[in-house]
Amino acid sequence: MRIKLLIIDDDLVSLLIAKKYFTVSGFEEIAEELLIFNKPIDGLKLLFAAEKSHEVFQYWILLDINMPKISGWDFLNRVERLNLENDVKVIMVTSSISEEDKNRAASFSSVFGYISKPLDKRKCTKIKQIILKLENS
Amino acid sequence: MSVQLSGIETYHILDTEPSEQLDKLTQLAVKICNADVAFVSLVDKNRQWFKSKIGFDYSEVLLSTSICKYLIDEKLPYLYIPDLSLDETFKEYLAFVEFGVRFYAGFPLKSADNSILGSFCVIGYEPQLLDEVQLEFLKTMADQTMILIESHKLNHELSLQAAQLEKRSIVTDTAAVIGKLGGLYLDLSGKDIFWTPSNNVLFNLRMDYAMTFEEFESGTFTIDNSAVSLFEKIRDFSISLTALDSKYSFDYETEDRMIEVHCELIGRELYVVFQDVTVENRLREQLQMSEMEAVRTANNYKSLVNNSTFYICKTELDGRLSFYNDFYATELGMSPLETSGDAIDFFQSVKPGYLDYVKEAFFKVASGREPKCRVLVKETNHNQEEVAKLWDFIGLKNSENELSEVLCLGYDVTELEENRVQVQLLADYTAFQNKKILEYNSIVSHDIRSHVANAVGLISLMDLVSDQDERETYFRLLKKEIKKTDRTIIALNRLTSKTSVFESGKEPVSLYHLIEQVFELLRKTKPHARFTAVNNTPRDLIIFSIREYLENVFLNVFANSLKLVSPERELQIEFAAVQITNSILQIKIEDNGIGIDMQQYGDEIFKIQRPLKDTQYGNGIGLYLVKKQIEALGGRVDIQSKDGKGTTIALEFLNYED
Repeated sequence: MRIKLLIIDDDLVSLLIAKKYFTVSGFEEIAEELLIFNKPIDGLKLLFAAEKSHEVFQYWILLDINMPKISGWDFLNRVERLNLENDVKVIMVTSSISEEDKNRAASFSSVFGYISKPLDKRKCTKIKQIILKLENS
Repeated sequence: MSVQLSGIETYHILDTEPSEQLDKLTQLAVKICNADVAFVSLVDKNRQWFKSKIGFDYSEVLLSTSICKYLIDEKLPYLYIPDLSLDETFKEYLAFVEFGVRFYAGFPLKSADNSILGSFCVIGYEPQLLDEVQLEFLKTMADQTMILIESHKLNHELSLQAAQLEKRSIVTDTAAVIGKLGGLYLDLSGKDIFWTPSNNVLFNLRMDYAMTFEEFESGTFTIDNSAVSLFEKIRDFSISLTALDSKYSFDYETEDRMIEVHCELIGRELYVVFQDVTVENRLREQLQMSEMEAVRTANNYKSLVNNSTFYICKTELDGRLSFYNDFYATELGMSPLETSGDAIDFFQSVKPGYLDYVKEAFFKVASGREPKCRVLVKETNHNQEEVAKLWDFIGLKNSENELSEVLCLGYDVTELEENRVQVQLLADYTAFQNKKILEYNSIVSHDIRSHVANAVGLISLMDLVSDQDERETYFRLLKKEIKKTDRTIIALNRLTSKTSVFESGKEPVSLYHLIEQVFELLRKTKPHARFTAVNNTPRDLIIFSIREYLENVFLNVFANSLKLVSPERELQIEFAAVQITNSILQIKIEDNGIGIDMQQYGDEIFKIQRPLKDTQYGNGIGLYLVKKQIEALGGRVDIQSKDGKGTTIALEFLNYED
């Protein structure tokens, strides 16, 4: 399965850190492409477009929670409402330390991980492991 | 043929033993009349029985063939036949034919009422003539016999009466013993005494003892116990008396009983009656104690019922009051003693809006569908004040186990109810604040946390790369993140300070629509309230504030108006708002209620712990909250009221146009 890795976060610094670490730790091992979105709506647009074009890709999304306009929760709700779960798998990457958020994330069937910011090498490795394990099983 | 039967049975003489006196008469008759036989015969229905007989052995013969029957049937003064063989009638008689009797002379035995009982007769076996004297003698014998027979009858009756008297005496004595009565009769002039045997039981004397007049007269009684003193007392009374008729009563107490003694002297006769009243006394004492106990219990219950905390009343099954305690009577404005007149209906004091609800609960109990029921009722008391009461209705059954009455126990919960409302408001207010604080806490902590996470990430990148330019970029970004963090912390400090904690929760609110919503909410939560609402807010007026908070403020202000409704007019609440400067929005809320006495309560209106019970304006808590909330929103509140005319509340908010 060909994989595309999406990072969605409104915080530019956070995106910069994520991009740097995935570049350094070699995202090519798991994904064909690394796509970065500053606005969640852009990420959604990409997914809708992909759905229509019948491209056969597995989308893995690293998703922030606290974002203006479309929060991480809104994003997940839309993904589930559009039945994109088969093609879209999500790992939450957030600065939130609240247990409530963690439990809420677990309630979505498309969420497969919950990582706290900031990203570093070890956390990137963990994300890669989650993806590989699920894609190989 | 009817024999004049004489009621011989009433003489009880037939078949009795021979009488010596009668036998003497018949013996004498034989001698005087020179006869062979003499007898006294008494006639039964069909036989002739011989009470006395000389010269033969028959105890009786058949009546049908006897000469005596002839004598009796013909009612002859006497029958004298010198020679039966020469008499056409009697020569056929069995006496002559069978027994050879030749001579007969008989006299009837006539009772006082002229009925004939039998005959006195002489007979002989030879013809014989009797002279006048002999016949006179026989008549005398017959009369004499009759006297003896009457005497026998009298004896018989007397013996019967004696037996009756004996029985009666036994019964009387026994009754006296059982009835614990005794007696003594003294004929002081005749020196006679009568001693009732039951006295012996009464005074524990020997059963065979009976007082003699000598004992009484001399005063030396042969009694072996303390009862002597009692009889001495009676004796003293009988001696000391000068008046002819007089009475004297006293109590005499032995070890184990109490005896009442009543003496009465009538002429020279002294009557004394003893009565054992031990049991009666004991019963009387017990009765007195029971009575005292009953009175005490009744007083207890009365004090329970006439407390000053619970309203207690009973009603018929249709709701008419059949009993009410003083406390409830006072509440209803009735005199506690007023029990007559038309029965009062339990529901008359209930406020109209609660009537259906109360009746439903009441009749659930009155119809037996529920054994008891509890309701919260708003009522109008005799001072026309609104009071909240908790009523328990309990069905009461009569002795036939049928539901007959309803017991109503009421408790004034006006204060509790007011407190409950106030506590609810405070709780809402607190929950509202908590929610806001939690939201802000969460946002603020997220902001700080995200800046710190970025900073940590950037520092780790600086370790990761060796390119100097790249590192400088990261350093620059790091400084930015730290500045952002600082700003957030400053904002946090500002936000947590009291006055501006809600600043970021503010939003543009259409005041007109908000007020409409609040009126609607008021109508829903207080369905019984009657009021007219006038909303004079400009449709385009926008207030920048916290919607929930504003709702709360106006709800409290309106609720306050509803509590101060004038009984003379329907409540009207008029709401007006105007932006008086480019930064100040002024709101006026006017009502036509009874107003608030500002001189008396002005300073206290906004205090929370105002004593509530002595005033009908006991709901300062609502206005207290209003004041606090408006202050939190950066506004101020002013209240003006003309006592009896209405209340005007003026609010000012900081509200910047655009």
